[in-house]
Amino acid sequence: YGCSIRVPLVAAVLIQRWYRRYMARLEMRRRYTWNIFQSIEYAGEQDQLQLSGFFSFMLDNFTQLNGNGPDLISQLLEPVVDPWLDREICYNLIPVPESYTGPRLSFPLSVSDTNALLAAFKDQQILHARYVLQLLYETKKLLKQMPNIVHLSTSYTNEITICGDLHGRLDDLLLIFYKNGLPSAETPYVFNGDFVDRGKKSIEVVCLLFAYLLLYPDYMHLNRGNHEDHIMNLRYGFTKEVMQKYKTHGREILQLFQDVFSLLPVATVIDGKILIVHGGISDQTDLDFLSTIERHKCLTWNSLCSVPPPAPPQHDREWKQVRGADPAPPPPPPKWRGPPSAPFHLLSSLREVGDILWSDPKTHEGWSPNTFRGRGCYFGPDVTRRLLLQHGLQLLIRSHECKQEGYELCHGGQVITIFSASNYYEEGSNRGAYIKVGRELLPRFYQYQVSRATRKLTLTQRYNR
Amino acid sequence: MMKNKQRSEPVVPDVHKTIKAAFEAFDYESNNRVDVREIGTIIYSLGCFPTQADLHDKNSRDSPVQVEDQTGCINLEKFLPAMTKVLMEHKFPSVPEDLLLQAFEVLDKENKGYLEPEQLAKYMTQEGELFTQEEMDEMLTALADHENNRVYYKDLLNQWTIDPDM
Repeated sequence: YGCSIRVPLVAAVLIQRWYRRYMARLEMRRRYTWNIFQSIEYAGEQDQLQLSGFFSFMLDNFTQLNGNGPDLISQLLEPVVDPWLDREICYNLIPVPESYTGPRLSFPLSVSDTNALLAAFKDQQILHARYVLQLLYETKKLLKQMPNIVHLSTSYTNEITICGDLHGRLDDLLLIFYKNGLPSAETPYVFNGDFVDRGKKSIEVVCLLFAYLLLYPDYMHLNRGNHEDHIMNLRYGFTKEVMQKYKTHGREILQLFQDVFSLLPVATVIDGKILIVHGGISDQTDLDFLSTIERHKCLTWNSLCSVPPPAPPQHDREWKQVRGADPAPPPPPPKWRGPPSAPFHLLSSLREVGDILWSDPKTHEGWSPNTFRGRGCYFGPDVTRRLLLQHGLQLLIRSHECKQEGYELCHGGQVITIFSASNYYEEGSNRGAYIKVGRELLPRFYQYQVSRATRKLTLTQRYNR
Repeated sequence: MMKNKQRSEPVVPDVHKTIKAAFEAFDYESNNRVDVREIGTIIYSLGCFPTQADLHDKNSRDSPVQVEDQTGCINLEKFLPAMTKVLMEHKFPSVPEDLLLQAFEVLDKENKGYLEPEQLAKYMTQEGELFTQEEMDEMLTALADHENNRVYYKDLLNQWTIDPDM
């Protein structure tokens, strides 16, 4: 560029080159910031790896013992108070003062109750502890009747709307309801886990979801996420929020929440073709086996083992990464479980639920332990292909990871990530999205982003009976 | 990021560190691989001004844009030495800022101090290393003065030529 530019062509080139460089720098800065946010997000979760290593050591040694070994493991693994059992919660005895201006729910719930809840939460009110407890008590009763995997059909409903992580973002939930409609026979929903933690309105979000679940059990479906869990809640804010908002009855409320969380179904299937789980899958995932487990026993404390259960003597199992270059990938190892009451069965359940709630898809083939999170695994397109084929499915919808556009496809379109908390890392970091599927089973994506303007809109929403 | 030190020569270990840092930002699976579509962003962010031809040159031995057969990605193993060479030898030389100003002034034939968006769009999408429609829309949305329907290019210059401290 020795001489000055006279020709528009050269001028254009210079401008184009500078512009592209400028945009690249912006993109690079955005990437760095995103990576920092993600590291901070997952750094805490990696601590559990330490504990899991200790735990596996214990398990390895105990399982060698004859007779006593299995019992000791069961004691160690099963929760102190079985979530299945009824707790002595006397919500009836909790007085609600005259001065309380919040919603007074009456069970069974009706549309006026859910409308009252919506209005109250938009108005920053707090639902009285007595009603929270009663809501949770009724939800627990309902969930006990549900299977581990819920099957839906589009022949009885209109399009089904599928939402991802909300993480206590009430504004996003309200925006979804505003854009898409409240849950009803015309507008059935599946919420794919992670309703609580991190955001400031986890209680409001989850109470609304449970209320609609009670109101329309056929049109409202909730999957468990990895944050519907006592240890995660301790660490990531839900426990704190409950204790702050409910100073007298916080503990009771938390206990009931944990029971309810452990009873949430772990998967939903639409038309036998679309599988919806919170995290993902592993090569061990077997939907038939998953239907038989006792899901309320699969809690974090006992699912810290991220290693496979002790292998029966004749098989040698190892963590393997199968490269795409291999001409014929080896067949998956046989899934030996043992009888349902045996500790191996429980260990397998723990591991499978862990995989369902924690795994992430990756582009390279094969699978490996998810060292980033300390639980679940990374699964490649071949794992997806195999599972979908095995069960006659055509699509896996999952959440668990924040995506800039609110959704992302991978594995040749066989996996969709859907994430519904906009501005998750910071104002403007990402959009939220939801999916709608109808009878033709083609997903359609709807995006949004919460802002001051949208908050004003949803506050003045009128909702119909 | 590497500051534009044209007087002192960069030291190789520092160069390696800088290149790796930029590469890692797009290595989503921590397997030293980056989608070939992101490589332009990485090269630009390292202070270079590659041409479009440079960015699509998969054939020259020394090109940093060589794609791995199996994965369709760029591997750090090949990228690092090739990109180091690029930086040490100033292969994609920078365009000085005053030339950028002159470039705009050439397009602004009547010396108005601004360009009409349609005018700029015509040049960008029909001359030189053509913008895609998407790039054009993006540029105009972000940069045009929407009230007066003008692009004040001196302001653009300031924005584009700031060396962000990364």
